[in-house]
Amino acid sequence: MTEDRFDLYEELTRDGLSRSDLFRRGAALGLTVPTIAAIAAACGGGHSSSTGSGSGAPGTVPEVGTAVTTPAPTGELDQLKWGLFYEPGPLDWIYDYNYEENTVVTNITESLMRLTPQLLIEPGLAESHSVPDDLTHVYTIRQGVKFHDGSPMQAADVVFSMKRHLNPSSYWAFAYFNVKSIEQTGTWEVTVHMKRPDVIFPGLMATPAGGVGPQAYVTAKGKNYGTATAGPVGTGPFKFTSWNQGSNITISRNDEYWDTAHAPKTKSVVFTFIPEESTMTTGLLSGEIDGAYHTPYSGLTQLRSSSAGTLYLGKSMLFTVIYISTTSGPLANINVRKALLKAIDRQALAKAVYSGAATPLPSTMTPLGQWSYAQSQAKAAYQKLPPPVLDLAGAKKLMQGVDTSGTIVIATRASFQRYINIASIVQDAGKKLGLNIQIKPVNPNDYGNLFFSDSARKGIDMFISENYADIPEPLETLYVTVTPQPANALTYNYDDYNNPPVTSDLRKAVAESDPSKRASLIIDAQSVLADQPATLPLVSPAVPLFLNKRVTGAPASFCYLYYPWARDVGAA
Amino acid sequence: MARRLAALAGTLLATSFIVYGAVYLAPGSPLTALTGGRPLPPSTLHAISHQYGFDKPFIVRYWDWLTGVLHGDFGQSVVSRQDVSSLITPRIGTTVFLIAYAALLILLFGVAMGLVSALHKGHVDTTILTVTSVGTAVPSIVAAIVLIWIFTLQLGWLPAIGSGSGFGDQLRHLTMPAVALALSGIAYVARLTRAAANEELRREHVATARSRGIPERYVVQRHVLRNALVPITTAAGLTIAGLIAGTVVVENAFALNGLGSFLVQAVGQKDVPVVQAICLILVAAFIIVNTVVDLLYAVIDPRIGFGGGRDG
Repeated sequence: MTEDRFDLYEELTRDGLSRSDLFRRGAALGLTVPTIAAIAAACGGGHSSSTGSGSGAPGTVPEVGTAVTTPAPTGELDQLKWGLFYEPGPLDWIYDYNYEENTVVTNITESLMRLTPQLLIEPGLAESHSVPDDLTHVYTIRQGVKFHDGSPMQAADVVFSMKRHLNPSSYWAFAYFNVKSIEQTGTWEVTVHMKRPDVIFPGLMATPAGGVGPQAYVTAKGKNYGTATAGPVGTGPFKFTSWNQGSNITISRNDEYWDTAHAPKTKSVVFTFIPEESTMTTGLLSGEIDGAYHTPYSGLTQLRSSSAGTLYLGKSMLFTVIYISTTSGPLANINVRKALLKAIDRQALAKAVYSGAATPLPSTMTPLGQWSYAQSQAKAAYQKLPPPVLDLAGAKKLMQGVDTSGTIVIATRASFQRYINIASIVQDAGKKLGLNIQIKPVNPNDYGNLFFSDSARKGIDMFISENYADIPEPLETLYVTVTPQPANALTYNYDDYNNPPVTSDLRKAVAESDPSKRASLIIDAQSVLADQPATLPLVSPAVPLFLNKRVTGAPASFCYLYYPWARDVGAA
Repeated sequence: MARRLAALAGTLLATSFIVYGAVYLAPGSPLTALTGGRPLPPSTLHAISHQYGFDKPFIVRYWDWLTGVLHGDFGQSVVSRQDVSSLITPRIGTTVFLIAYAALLILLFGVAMGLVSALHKGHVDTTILTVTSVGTAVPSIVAAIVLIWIFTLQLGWLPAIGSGSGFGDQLRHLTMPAVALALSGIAYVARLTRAAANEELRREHVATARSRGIPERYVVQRHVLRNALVPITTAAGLTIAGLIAGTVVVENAFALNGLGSFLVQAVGQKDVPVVQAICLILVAAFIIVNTVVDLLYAVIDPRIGFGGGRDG
């Protein structure tokens, strides 16, 4: 029964059964009407939210997290007013590591590769990328591309730009962890030599780790490059125009944009900073703001039913996970982790915490959106994982004979409602299993330190995170979370998880250039992890995008961080 | 006056040390703000700490800051890498406009409602008392939400976001924020004015003036209002000085680029140079408003000398 329910659920969220189909199919499986309704609700609630991709036919059930595009624009637009939920830091690509910096800079500074709305990787400023052997990456640089300051882009600019990341103060320095050297090997050719094979590296060239800026300008501006006084210069469809500190950033159309098939249709984009969630929602409802990515979940119900525009719930690489940060106490027991996951109602959580704009994850922290290759293989494996349904009986069975003494401390970011709600759901699930889970609110300023420092994690057994993969390569986040990492490397492995088959599979996968073989290794590790969890994966939040009815064309997927999305926007 | 200036300088110096120490001791790290809380390898964290001087001892960092200020350099924002003065200047305009607008509303409506209430017993008085009771209890964030719902979402008259450019546009943008900010102040000043006026109305000299047949308008102006002005000025002065702190909430609610919202943001990011500069401005403003109130006493009632002593 649970398998069926999960299948139905999967079909509903991935392929989009119509509501009547859902009830018919559900009834045939012997599900009761309230159960079917609960599944439908867990998939996104209201009928009025759009599905995107032009599939908004009346009567279809919304498919949370599948939209990748929005209807194509019909004309030019003078000005697009976009909302950002905080004021970005400097728009220098080596420091652009977070949401809104990238939402803006991706339209100005382009990278060697590019993330597409479908969440695939395609050539960007590199015309092509080849891998003659596991330790060599050759990039052929696109010719005839000009920077916004009029200077032509050359291979030397690419080498300079990549080498900026070799300085450890670049936030993207970790991408170059396995890089031995970067050199120009032809007029239009740049070659990267690796210390050891690393299949994650080429994908990261679609992020600012592969960003390209003009050597002369960037050098001349020094540490001011990318700030309000020395705005960024790139090759993208939009040029930096102005930055009114505290209010807005304006970018304007680059009429000499090299990618003529995707010439921008909007003359200028004004980004307004709106940190208060309710104000952002109001701005979108009143039309003062034309659109925003990652609109507040607190306003989704209002935005769904608004006549001002359309809410899309796009395909994402986001995942909400509980990291385990202890090697002792009840959580050190694998069965306790498994039981706790079974006892957490992930469907209810998606509905209650994310207003339905999230898909429950079956015992893996890797949502399907992170697979850009071997997709059918990945999907088949995904459906074999334990389904994300509440299974209290199964959980209690796992807990038989387990020592539940001692308390488990879960950290939440104080005053951050989503984490507080998740923590109380987890606490409640623990109570049903006889586990004493205590919630510890951590000062918002300190919460980020949980990722950085051992001392911050002292006395904390687990903590919640809304994380994302930068690129559609499941290894990017999985590898550093579930295998032991060297001392100076980026890691999310906070419980010293080291499971020989998993470590062996993933170490092989990181060096495996054949996608299908790589997928098999990852899938193998994934099934071991489902049985012996390193983390507690909860849900994959969709990307909420709201567009006023006067504008359209923005991609709906998570690509907006690393794809020049504003070029696709125009008048509806 | 010289004494006052020396006191001001001393207060500012003490404030700067306390604020610097408080931000230093408060939990969290500017690294979190810089990186958006996403994990980074230890080598990168180390490099950033060194680059920004986060690894220097507290007293060295404070001394560096203080000597900079004495040379007119308030330092650079850690987060935006811009000079603090260039970040603060445009924001002062918004905050001053907002506070002046709200202060005007408080003086105008607060005093008027209080006087009307005192002079017109019965229904008018009861109504105003009820309205002001509610008014004092409404936090500005609630007022902001209700105002936005009515005037932006239902009527579509006023914008809910931003501070506008040019005087007319700014007035339009800042009307709802100013009302939200002033609301409880208006109610408080109205109640206080009513009480002060009532007190004066019961005084012997008012009764004497009335019995002599002096016109009521004249009695109110010369005998009631004049004497009630001292407590009204005190209340209004304190209320207006209090607005400086209240701007934080209102600026956030209406996405205004003012000092208040900037302070909240900078504290969250542990952007010490910005926090320092804004705190000093706010403390200076508070002291100045209080000094102005003191000066006004001397004007209203010549028996009260400036500076607390008869010799002024």
